[in-house]
Amino acid sequence: MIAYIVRRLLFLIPTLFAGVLLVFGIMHLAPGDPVLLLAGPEADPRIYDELRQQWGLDKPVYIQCLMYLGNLVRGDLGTSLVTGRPVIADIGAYLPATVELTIFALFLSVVVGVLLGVVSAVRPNTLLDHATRTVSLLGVATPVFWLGLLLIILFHLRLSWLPGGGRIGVNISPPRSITGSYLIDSLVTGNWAALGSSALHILMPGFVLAFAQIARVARITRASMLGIVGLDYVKAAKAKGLKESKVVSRYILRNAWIPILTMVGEVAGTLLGGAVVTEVVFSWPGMGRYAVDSIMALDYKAIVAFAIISTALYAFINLIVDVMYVWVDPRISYS
Amino acid sequence: MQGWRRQVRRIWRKPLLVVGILIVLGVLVMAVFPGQLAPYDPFKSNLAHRLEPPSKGHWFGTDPLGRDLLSRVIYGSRVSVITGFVVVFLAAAIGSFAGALAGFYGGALDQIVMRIVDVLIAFPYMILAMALAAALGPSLINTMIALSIVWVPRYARMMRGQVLQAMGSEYIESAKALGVGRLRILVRHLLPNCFEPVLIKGTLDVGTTIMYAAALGFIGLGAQPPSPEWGAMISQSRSYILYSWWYTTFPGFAILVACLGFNLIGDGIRDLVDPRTAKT
Repeated sequence: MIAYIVRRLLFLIPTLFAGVLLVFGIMHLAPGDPVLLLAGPEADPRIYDELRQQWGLDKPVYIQCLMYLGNLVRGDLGTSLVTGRPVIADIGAYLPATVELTIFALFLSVVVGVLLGVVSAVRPNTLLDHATRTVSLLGVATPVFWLGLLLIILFHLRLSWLPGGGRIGVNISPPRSITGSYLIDSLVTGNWAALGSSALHILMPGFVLAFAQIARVARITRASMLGIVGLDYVKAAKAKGLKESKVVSRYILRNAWIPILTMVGEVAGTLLGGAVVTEVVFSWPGMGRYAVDSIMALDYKAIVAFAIISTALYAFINLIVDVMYVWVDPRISYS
Repeated sequence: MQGWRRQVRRIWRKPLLVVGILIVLGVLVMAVFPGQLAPYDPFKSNLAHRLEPPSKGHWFGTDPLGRDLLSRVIYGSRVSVITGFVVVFLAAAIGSFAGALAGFYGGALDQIVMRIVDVLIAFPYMILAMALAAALGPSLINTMIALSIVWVPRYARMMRGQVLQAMGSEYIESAKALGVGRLRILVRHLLPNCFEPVLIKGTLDVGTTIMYAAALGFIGLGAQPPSPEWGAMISQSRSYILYSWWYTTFPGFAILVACLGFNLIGDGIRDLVDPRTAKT
């Protein structure tokens, strides 16, 4: 098992390297010029050349790329052209917010999605089943950013029930940083004001990000369970007079987990992508918003770093999913 | 003729598929004849009528330049439909071709193609699309290229699997035994038989692509103003959400409906082809 995990983590390295090459290559074939953008079209040519030299943009592309990879190995992702700080420091500051939002949405997708899926599989063709299926059709077709704005109009601007953006109220100081998650940190330190405020702030973005994924998880749960409901061992369990709740949780759901877990891995990737637009809509101070700001400035180092970190996160979540297969189904082993 | 009629009857019995077909037909008509359908010029500003709520004169209201939103949404369908079809066509063509060659010839070629596919698939696709579109610079064409690159590996992997599966079947064996050339086997026998899943995936992906293109438009990549692109319109509406709900609502509703239409068709075709999935 440990050998398997190590092997998977090792495989990630060449993948990320190749990814860097790809984005780097395309970025340098593209016509945009970050120096021109920052210095302005009327800048003194000497200043322009100096800036190019300073950022190493005067060297051939392959040299730039090799230098970048060399620095990457040493954990140096370069300096942001916009903030002037090391990219790794910038991302370090924004990453916890993204991780908190994504994990919250993932949790919401799985818990609500599986619940809805189970209920509609147990009571097929009831009102709730039809409602779940309709919501899942609509959910997959609803743009995240649009839903976010509509909910802001309704719950923030019209009803004033929920805050319209940010991670925590402006007049409340964030909890002492332990994990980087405001929810967990304020809970651990007993900072109830911060806990209440950050919980209210994450509710809307978390739900918006999770909405389509709840639908996907519910759909796959329903399908996976319906495939098992008719099997003989389930009939036998029912015939023995076991309670329905026990049959559903211990006999059906246990064997329906594998396709659901596979879907959870996919959902994680979609959430990481969706987090970008969600962060923009809700002014959530995360990595995605940082990336969008970097795009406008053609700050390629920040963009490449963002893509790499997101991919590593995605790979990590998928690794956890694969490890969980073994836990869910003892017949699977990686040795 | 008989078989054709039976197909139509089978489609007719799937109400959701029919709804999907009707929606997509509607969207296509809008995309092809925007000039005939739109009540106003989508680019003409009229500052006397800025940010008006929906009314008899302007069903969807107007934007901050007084442009008619219904007309802009109708013209926007053209951008979205073209993006959806071009991206899926490019990705399916390139991906299927690469995947078919990899599966058919195997060896080093297979290794190279599949390793590239592995790398591309390791990225969450919205993030890869963002990074590529950003690298290429914000424009509609670049967004299409970026999204195509993101979809290519998925088609390549699928086509390779199909070809590998079909290679073991008897009709290929007999073609080989008859001395048919390798290229002819690939083009005339394998590809036509492996195309069905690509078609289904393609239909589903048009909807998804429209959604992703809108998301890229929303964060400032993709079509640039004054081009009426749905995602960009929603992005522009953000500064006005305090007093004009219609400006945000209608372009987004258009994305939802278009996306839903393609998804319904994709699901429906999949059920027709493989009735086992129908109950999901």
